[in-house]
Amino acid sequence: MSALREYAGPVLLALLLHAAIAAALVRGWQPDTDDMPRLVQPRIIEASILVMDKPAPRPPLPSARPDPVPPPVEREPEPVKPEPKPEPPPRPDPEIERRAQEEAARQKRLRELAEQSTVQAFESEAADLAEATADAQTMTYMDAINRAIRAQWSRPPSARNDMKARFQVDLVPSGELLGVMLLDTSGNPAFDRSAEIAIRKASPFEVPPDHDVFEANFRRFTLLFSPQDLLR
Amino acid sequence: MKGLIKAIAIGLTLAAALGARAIEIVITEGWDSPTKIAVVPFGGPPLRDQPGPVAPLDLAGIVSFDLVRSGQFDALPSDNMLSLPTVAEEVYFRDWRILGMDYVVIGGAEVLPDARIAVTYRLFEVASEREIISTTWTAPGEQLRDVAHWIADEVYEEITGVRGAFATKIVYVLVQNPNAPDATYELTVADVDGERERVVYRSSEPILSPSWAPDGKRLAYVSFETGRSTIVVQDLATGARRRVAEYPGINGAPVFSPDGTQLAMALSRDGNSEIYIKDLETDVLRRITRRPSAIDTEPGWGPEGKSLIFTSDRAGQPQIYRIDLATSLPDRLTFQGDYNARARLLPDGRHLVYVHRSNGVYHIAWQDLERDVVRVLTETSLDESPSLAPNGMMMIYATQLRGRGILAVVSVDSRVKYNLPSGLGDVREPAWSPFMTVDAQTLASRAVTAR
Repeated sequence: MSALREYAGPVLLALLLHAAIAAALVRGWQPDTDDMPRLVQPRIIEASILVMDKPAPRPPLPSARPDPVPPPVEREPEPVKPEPKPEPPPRPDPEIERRAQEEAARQKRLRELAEQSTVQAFESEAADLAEATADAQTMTYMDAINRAIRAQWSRPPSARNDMKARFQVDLVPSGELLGVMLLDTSGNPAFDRSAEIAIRKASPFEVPPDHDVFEANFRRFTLLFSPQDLLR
Repeated sequence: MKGLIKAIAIGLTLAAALGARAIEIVITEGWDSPTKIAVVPFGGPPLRDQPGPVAPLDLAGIVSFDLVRSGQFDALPSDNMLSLPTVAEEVYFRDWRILGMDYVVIGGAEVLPDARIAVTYRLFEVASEREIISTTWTAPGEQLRDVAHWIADEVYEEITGVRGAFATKIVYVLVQNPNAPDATYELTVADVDGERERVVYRSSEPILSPSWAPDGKRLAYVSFETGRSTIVVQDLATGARRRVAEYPGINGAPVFSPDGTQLAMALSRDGNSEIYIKDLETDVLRRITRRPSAIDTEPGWGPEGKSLIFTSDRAGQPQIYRIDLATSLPDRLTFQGDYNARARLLPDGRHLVYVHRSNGVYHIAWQDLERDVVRVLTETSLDESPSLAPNGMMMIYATQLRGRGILAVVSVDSRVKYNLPSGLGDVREPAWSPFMTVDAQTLASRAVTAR
């Protein structure tokens, strides 16, 4: 009996400790969950770097990387952020000051939440975002295709600045080349051929995984070859 | 600037893309690198272009070496090829794609009953798996090297859009025992790859300034065979020589007009060096420059023979001038540096190469006359006598290597430079021939079998 009493303290302490750890664990997971979107964001940043990569003459875009999708996400949150702000005009309600304070605190928390939660921003303007994403995706992938072809395009010595050759390109959703057709010749067969070889060597292309975006812009598009960087 | 253009291009395309919903990607830049080509050893019996125990000719090797020397091609060594096809059915494009080839050339030869040799080659483009051209050349055995160069010319033109100049010649002066009392001067003609050297005139007196007639069948040069300078025109086939200028004083720097009927030259018969044009049929001499106070020399012809360029020290130091033959009005072309001489115009009439001195070193410079851009092409010193290939892509010049005169070649974009192999002696005063027409008398014939 005395032993029980003797151990009551330590047992209680142990229980308290466990409870504390459990609580800490539970609370500890929360911030982690909050951090999740932020962990995703670095990918977005990576995608931006990819765009800055431009001068590099290499086209090395690992074809199985779905990353570039997020870039719009990064750009979007900013205009979204202020959205919740206008809502809480601090109405000077003289009736109950306490409630007003509570409301202010709630709004502050909400704002913090809104700032952190990209997901919430997504929900608020889903439609606009989808469209902007499609445009941004189109731009990103156009630029990637541009770079891939540029890196393969070796112009013949008969090429001159401002020559123009236009091709129609047909792709399948995997980005593989279905066909190349010369629409407008430059008048120089060697120049035209150099461009066609560049297209073939640059394929398969990286195309948007988004079905609609692919169908709208990448199933069939045209390529205009018009050098501006030649010596003559 | 480039970045701006590109930004605008991308911006415009994007606007078009987002507006019209039909995208166009505009490519304004490239990554120019040598075209990858594999010239597979040709099939057929071993062939020799001369009697005797000589090694058989490697036609594909000659074609390959020609293309590589242009600087615009990387040729795959035959040891690295996965297969050695000689007929179209044996070409597996997958293999050549793995090897990174853009083009593949295959070919074969057979000896005809009349002892002539028929050489057929095919050019394939790997990316599209297409045959681009196929031609059969028929020629006597001693012309096999020409056939190889003709093939290289065709392949080069097909891929680059520029006429090939591999089946051309160079002439130069080879000095044996230079600086010795028994020095001899040999006017030598050879293929542009240095093969088939042939001495066409030998003298114990100096030979200078050889230049080609536009048909490639005659040479004009300065000889000192009579003890003083004399301009001689020599027929290459017959060896017949004719002295066309033996005036008192200097007779120098002869250059054929583009139609081959006139010779521009520098003569000092009227006191100091002036530019003259001599009609080779009527022997009428016409004086072009009139500057008794200045030395005018080293004439060169403009396109269609309507103008002449020349070197003059009328401004105090040698500079390049151009004179319109209709109006006789001269204008100065070079302004950079205190020594610019021995100029030659490119076939486009817009670009100029000349000897340029900067910091006391003589280089070959290239100038765009329209945009007034000057670039130095060579890194060697004591460079002299630039002479252009007829397609304007390459230039041969004389330079010094360990105190000995050698010939070097540089592309006008200065991307490729190499020295021509030479035996003993000093090599000087090179001149690149015009395009050589395939002579009907040589029995060579060409048939395009597919395109």
